[in-house]
Amino acid sequence: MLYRKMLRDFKSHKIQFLSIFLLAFIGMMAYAGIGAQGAGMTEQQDRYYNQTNIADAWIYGDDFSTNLSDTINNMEYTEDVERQMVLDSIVEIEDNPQLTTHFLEKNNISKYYPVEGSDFNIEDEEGIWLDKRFADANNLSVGDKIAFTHNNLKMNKTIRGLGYSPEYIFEQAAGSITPDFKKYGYAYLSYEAYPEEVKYNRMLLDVNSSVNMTNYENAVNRKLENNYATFITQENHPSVKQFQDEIDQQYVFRDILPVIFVGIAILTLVTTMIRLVDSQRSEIGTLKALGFTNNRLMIHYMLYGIVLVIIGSIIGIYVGIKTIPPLYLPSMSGFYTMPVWDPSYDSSFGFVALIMVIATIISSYFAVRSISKENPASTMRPKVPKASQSKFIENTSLWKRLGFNTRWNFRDAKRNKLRSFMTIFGVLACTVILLSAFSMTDAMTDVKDWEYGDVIHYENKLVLEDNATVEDINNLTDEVNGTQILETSAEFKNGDTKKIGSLTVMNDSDLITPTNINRQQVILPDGGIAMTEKMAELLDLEEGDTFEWHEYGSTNWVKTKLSKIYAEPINQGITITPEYYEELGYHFNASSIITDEKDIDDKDNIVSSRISMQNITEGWDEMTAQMDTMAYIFVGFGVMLSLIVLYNLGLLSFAEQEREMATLKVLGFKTKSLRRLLLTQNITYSIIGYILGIPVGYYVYVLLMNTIGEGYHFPIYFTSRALIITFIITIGVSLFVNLLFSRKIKNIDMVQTFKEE
Amino acid sequence: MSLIEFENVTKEYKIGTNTLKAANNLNFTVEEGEFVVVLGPSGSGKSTMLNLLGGLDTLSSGIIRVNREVISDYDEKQLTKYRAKNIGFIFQSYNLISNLTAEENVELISDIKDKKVNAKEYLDMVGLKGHSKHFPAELSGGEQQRVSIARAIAKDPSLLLCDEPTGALDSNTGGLIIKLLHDICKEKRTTVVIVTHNTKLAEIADKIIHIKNGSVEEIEVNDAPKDVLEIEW
Repeated sequence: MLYRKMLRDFKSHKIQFLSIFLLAFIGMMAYAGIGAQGAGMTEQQDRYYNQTNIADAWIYGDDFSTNLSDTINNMEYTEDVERQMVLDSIVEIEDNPQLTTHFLEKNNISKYYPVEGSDFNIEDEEGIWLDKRFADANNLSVGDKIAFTHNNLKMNKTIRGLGYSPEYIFEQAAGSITPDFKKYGYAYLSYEAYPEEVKYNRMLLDVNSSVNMTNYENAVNRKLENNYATFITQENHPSVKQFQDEIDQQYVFRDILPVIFVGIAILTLVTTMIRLVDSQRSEIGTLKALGFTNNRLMIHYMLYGIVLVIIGSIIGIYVGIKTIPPLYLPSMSGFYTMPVWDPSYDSSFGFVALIMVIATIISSYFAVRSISKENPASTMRPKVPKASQSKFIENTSLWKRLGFNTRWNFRDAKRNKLRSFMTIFGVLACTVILLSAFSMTDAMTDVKDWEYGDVIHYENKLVLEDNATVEDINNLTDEVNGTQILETSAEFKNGDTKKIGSLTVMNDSDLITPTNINRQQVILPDGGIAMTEKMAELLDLEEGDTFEWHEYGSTNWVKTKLSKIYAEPINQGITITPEYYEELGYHFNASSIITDEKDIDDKDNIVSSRISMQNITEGWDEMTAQMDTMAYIFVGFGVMLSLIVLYNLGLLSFAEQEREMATLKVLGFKTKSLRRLLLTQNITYSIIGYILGIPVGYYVYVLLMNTIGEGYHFPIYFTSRALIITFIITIGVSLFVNLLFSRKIKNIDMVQTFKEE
Repeated sequence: MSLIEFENVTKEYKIGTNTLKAANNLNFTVEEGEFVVVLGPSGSGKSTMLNLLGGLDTLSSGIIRVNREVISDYDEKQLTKYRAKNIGFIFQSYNLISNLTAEENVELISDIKDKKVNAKEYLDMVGLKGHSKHFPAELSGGEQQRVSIARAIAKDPSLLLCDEPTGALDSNTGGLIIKLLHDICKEKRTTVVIVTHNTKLAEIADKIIHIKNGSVEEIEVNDAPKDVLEIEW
């Protein structure tokens, strides 16, 4: 019978129970939806890496002999070694896209993942297996002939298959920040396909997972006696690392914002359960008088929350997984290449749902216990309101001057502290979510302005061929009226901290003008090292400190002084002049020429590709699209959540005040002034919540921005745009909810209201 | 041995710094099967006495015996069991569960008593044939009180405690409710204690207990109670 009572109670307190259900639903939907994205990426990545046996480490060099390969293979912990010759080629089709061609010795490590056409065949001299996305973007298909050149060596091959490689989840052409599948791709061929003598320049290692990679690297170092350029472990491989960073970011997003959702859901749930049980006070008394035990009643009321939260959570998890990951798909797949993008379940979903259920149980327990502790005789009487204690404000002369409206609301807030607190907290959480979401999108625009407005002034960057001669480069530089720069990577070391970052070698120029964080131009020193603020922070360095570094691929470690710090949003590392660079024992060899001329001929044979400002900013917009997706998902949830919280609490407040409102109505108050009573309350709470939300939002925003990765340095502040839009939405939601109650006030039936009780 | 014995029962409430004695040295007895009316003005402590007797409240000092059991020593669990087993309550404000139909309100008892209650039978008994599917809000005050009585007697209680059962009803309806209670008392030999300020009820009672300021002022035993139908309402 109590079961039937529960079902009927659900029906007669629809809105409140619906909101408990919705809160559990939305909280879990956000958590599971965003979590499933991250979990899916992890699972699919792991599966992909396993299937293709991605290398545990790569050794880059010039010419790895069979002997060297055997030496490594014979090392303890080495399970397998295979060599590749990796060459940059230019495809002879429209736009001359770049193709990184891998000539394989075997295909057991970092295996090619075929999707269309035939599997990779190591004996095929005429075949080539292409990057599917490159082929799709350039309308190439299986069976087509393709011609490409490497250093004037022309090769003609037939496309045998299209597919992916685990080393290219993230593929990036030199000098560009986003993938452009039309301009850049990769291909796999047999070593037999190379017409000349094969000089393997890369070794792929399969290493026993039990080994410590640093020890292993040292062992390799001893064996090879510096006859190699770079040793890269799997976790430091650019594609692996970039994708792992992306996954980590997903997890942080999952762990911060949805946790706020779940937090609000739990708190609102608690308030609602307490109120609900309170409203059933006299029924509890009656049931006790009939002889029901406290335990029976406790279980009865606990079931209310449990049933709703369990159903809400299960549906929420299901719907979240089905709806949210697909929203990410366009921006994710535009950036990364994976054979499968399916979302996955994660045991944390169940855990979070369990926390919600437990919170419900605990809140119902305390709500019922406070009533059942009283004896049934007093339970059947209405609850005695607590005498208000502090009368400090009431005793000041100010109080007498306050209008009825203010006094009423002040007393109401005082008497219903929990409800007031919850309302403010709900608005606060909404503010936090909206502010951080809008600020993220703002930051992206801001950084675009900074990097491509204040720092970079060139129109075109001509990326040069590796084998371009100094003479050719100088001629081309004069021809396009440009400046030569060298952009590469370097490893920095301060004490035990090691970081990899960018190394830019260039003379002072109008085409790149570094700034500080406030975007004021910074003049870089002639004979010294300038480092970005973020990198200096990561290495714990200040101007005047010394540190060690070497260019990636070189063993020439140098110890230098940090003479200047400047700020840079997307590229952390150091900048130095060519003279100083040579002084340190390096040889300056420009990697590209930058120029502010718009229309230039990029057909020069020493130019491997031309990157225009337009391309770059378009690429940037593409990259930020992902961030925007995330931001809009959050805004949507934030608004939904605050609507539910405010409406639900408003309903509680209304139910509690209905009798008093009816009394006021009988006394002759107009509906309009009653509406104002509620409006004043809502607006006041909303404004307080909003103001408190700003500092909390700032904190959350900082947390979120820290997830973007070490490579980025974003100025962190709230723009007035974000603050104003958030304010408008927050207050708008509050006004909207108030509007819903206006009709209720008008419809208060004075007679009926008094009859109840 | 009497069915109910109150010995120096005192109940104090603390309100701020003042102590209010809602029951002050109550002494009386009730025999099995008696129809007892407790009379007294508002605030005299009648309801407190009834709540103590029904195990809804605990006393400050004294002894209450029901059926030779000292219920004033009971802890909460025992009190709950005592209420479930022995007591039928009828309140002025009916106290029905608003989200259960008339029939279901009576069937609630099956949850406590571990026996199947035929709700229809009890509703018939109180004259509510055909109303079993109605919710409390769809019934008149008199009808709601009948449901409440049906619910109380469905338990087969040895004691039926009624707190102003006709207080919210017009006199005709009230009369019918009192007749119903009286019939139950006489037919089922259920002891009935009614708390009221309606002095007319005294005429049909076997015993009348007058309470004033928390104490028993006078106990009358009516040797020749009038028939319910004889009184003017």
